[in-house]
Amino acid sequence: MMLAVEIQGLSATTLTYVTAAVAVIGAISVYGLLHVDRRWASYTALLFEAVLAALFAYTTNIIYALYSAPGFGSTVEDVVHGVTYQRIAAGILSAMLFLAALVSIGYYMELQKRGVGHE
Amino acid sequence: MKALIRLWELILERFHLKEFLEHPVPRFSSLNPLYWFGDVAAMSFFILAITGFALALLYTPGLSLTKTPPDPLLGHNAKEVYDATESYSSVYKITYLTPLGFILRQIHLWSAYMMIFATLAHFFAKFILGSYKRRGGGALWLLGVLLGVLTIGQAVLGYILPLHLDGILAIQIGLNLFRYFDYFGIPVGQLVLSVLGSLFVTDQVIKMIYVLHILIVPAIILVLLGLKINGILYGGVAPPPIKDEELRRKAMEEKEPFYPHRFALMVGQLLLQLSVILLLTAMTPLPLLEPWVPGQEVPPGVRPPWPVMWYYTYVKMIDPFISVGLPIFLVLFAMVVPLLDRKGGISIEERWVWVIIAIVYIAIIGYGTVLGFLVDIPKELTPLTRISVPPDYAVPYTGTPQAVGP
Repeated sequence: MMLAVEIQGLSATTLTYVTAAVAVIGAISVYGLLHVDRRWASYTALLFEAVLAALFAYTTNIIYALYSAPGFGSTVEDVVHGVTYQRIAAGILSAMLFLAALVSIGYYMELQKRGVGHE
Repeated sequence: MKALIRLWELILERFHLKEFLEHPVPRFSSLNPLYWFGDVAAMSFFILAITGFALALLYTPGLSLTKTPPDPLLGHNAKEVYDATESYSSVYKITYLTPLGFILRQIHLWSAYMMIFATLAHFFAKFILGSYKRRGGGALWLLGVLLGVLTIGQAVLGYILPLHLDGILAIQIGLNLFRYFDYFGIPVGQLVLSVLGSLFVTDQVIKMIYVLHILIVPAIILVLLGLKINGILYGGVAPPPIKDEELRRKAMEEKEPFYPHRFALMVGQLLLQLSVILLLTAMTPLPLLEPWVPGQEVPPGVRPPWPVMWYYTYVKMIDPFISVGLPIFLVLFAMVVPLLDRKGGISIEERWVWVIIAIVYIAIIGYGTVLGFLVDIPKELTPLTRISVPPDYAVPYTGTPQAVGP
């Protein structure tokens, strides 16, 4: 039995390119701003986190629609389709965590510059 | 925001967390990469525990056969359908038929690989630093060696659970390691087989491996890890490998509070670690591999994953009398290192002999791993076949399966 539902949304390829673009621009912006002002780097990271979170929600929506479609899993093509979207979701999460890690490590580096002691 | 900050401060005060969070940590250990890998291994363990909990809810151990479609990541013909065990079938369902199940399993697998890599790197780093030379360091070293053995053991147990062909190869190699003791008259292999109650994988055996993997071994790891963290918390980290005593003392005295300094770094490290794991999931997902059917022999092309590849290579290359017991010798040697390396200072130039030994130690593992991937050694895997005492009870998983006992 073939998949009974056609997923209406961005194709996996388009979603991959959009994610990669947002992630790379976000990472470069946050890394660059960390050398200027950590506060602005944090705000920028927050902005890109929000965009990536929206992309993640969108991708997860597609994944759930696909997996709950009647007849899903009856062909290998369905499964490959599902795995592709899950890989994209993993990539989005990876980018989100990377931005958060940059900010956190940036905060540590700033504390190092400020010297030993409490805030 | 102010209310939240007040609440946070109240929590810190009332739960006496301030004393813990503000304990001073040496600054050099945050900046020197040789001190990072222990944290990575510990964090990986907690990631594995969380993902493992979710996987345990979905996994069903069992040998009853079901029809399963092929692994799409291996690029098989879509029309093929395989006979596979219930274990394999349930992992197939988690990986390919559950929304976000693929990500869950990939995080578990990549975290396991990261934990093993970090454990090896941590061992090597502490060997170079001679961290066992400080007071209490020997006990921490011993705990570390035990944790390393349990980590590899836990990985092998987890690798068996889906009951793919590679998992069956893992159980064969693992049991042959126990049989090595039997050769010397210590019936360890016999004991293990009598506990398993069978010469071949049964429902009971797979259930036992499952319980070991999700409950017993993690519980032991958690207790040992707790002891180790406690030892580091109260005994401090290994001193930096500096020859000048004055400089070393100065580095040891330069401290910063755990919170927010080291805490920010640890959070960053955890996030970065998860980010790398998810990136690996997206870029290089690991396939489920070929299913195994009870009674089926492992075909020659099947090879183990990288953490045990070195062992597989040596078992095929060298006389089994030496190679099969190699991990046992490596572990025993690691355990006695603090007793042998007692004299002299802790700097690298004072301990160059031990640094070379550490490099040789890791090179043995590294060489076998690289060689295993580069060359397919043209010899069938027959551990212990050249040893003259292969007792009947110590021939697991070969020939016709026979039940043990009534």
